[in-house]
Amino acid sequence: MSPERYIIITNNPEVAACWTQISEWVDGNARAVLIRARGLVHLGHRLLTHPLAGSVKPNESPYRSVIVSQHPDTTIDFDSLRIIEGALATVDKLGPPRFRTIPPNVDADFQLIDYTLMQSAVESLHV
Amino acid sequence: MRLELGKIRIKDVQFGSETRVGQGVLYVDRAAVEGIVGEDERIASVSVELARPGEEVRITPVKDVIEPRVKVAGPGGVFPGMVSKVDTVGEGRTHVLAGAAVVTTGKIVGFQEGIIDMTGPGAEYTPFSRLNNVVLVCEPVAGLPQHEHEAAIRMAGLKVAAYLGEAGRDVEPDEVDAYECLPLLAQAAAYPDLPKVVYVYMLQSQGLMHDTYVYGVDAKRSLPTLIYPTEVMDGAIVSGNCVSACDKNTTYHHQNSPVIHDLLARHGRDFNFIGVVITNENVTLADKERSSNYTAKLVEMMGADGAIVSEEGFGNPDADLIMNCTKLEKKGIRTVLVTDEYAGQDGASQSLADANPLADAVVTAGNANEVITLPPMKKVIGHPEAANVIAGGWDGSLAADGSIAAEIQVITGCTNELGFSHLSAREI
Repeated sequence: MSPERYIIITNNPEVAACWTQISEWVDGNARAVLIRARGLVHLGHRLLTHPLAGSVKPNESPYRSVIVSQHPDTTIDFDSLRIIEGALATVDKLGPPRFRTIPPNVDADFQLIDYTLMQSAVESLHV
Repeated sequence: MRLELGKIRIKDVQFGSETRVGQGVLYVDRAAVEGIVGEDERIASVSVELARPGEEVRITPVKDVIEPRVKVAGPGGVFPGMVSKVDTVGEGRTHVLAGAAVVTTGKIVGFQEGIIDMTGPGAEYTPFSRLNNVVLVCEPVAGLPQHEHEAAIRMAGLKVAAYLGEAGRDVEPDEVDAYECLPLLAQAAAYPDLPKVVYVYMLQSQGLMHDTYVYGVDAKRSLPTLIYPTEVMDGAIVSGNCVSACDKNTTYHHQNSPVIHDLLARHGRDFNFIGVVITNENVTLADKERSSNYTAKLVEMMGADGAIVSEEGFGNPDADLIMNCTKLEKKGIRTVLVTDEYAGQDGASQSLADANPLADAVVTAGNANEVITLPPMKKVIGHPEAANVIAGGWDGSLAADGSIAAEIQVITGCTNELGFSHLSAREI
């Protein structure tokens, strides 16, 4: 099995800067990243990472990255669809972002945690 | 494999000129503890504080809680692969300073979480309020990367727990509990008429701040595997997990897992507890599929009739939990899941991020979104300003008087998914 080719959907500048060739920038909040990922699932892309990766809550960190397969299949992957819909339901349940203002050092840490989750995923995908 | 846990009841902790245990009091040589922590050049300074049950003290942000122990007979030492050599543990005799703990705190990332109140309403939600805590407040050298900072504090806590545990080496325990586990085939044959039960122990393993170590190995680097219950009880698993304060398993939880204790207590009477499968919780869906496939296959190979599955964390591990459940159920192995809930502040929303009709027996440790107000404390050990940026807190959570309005998920161990809690709902 050849390594999976993939795209990283992200609103995290640290992720986008690291994987410039294979990331797709979302200019929006964490929910917008999931909405874009759901759109791609509808087009036949498969989720490769869980959209709620990490135990940092989706209404806490403003950053979110999701990895999907690069090329769409001809059919929709219903496991991916179920997972992304479940993730969106969770985000909506937990409510709007908690913090109006995030101190710069905390903002950098939120980016770092999301980045390290992606690093862990990318290492796994390249095995 | 037979393990004796000799419990030395600790009723108080005090600073003293030497570290020792006398009349149920743990005396701590403060300078010696500072010296042990200071050996790590990544730590610039440390202060050692004490927090006893009932004191008006708040500890935050809590990273890990560790029970001091010493191996007095049998192979290996405490925390194998971390503090001691990687000998296999789980047999012989280990002395436990029961009622004492080492608590590590340090601001590794700016939104770090975890509160232990030693009195007041918050104290009811954390079992660690009932312990005599030796708290390490560690400050890193300037510019230390976060993963190094986490590793330094993790090792500091384990080393100090091992050091304090040594004080119990020659103390006669107040009670000795013995646990015996047999090799799989012998265990299965021991009670042929009872249903065979396996415990599937899910370990958080997603990356920085989300890791668990088994004999010193990062759990994400391993396929699911077998482990004797007594190995877990004897310190083979330690926490490197700093997020999700309410439902992460601290090292103390691993050392004292109530799932394992309760399974052993009813073993041979209600069922035949034949072993533990440890598995991980990873980021990619392929890893989740692989680990859950492997877990279900191992449990099937063991010949189990039923499995208890416990989760660690929230959100994406719900997917691992459901995968483990459905794959076991489809093999005819009935499951009981242990989890907690994020059901919204009103408790009305869907509790988990994933679900399946086969998950029809679930034990909950409570709703982490319930809101609580923690009154101000006279003394705060650690970094109180963290309350404004921790999970479950929000802008303005920390009031001018020092009180904190937040969801109970800010409290260390409050919805622990091993059921390690003093709160419960009972039929009356």
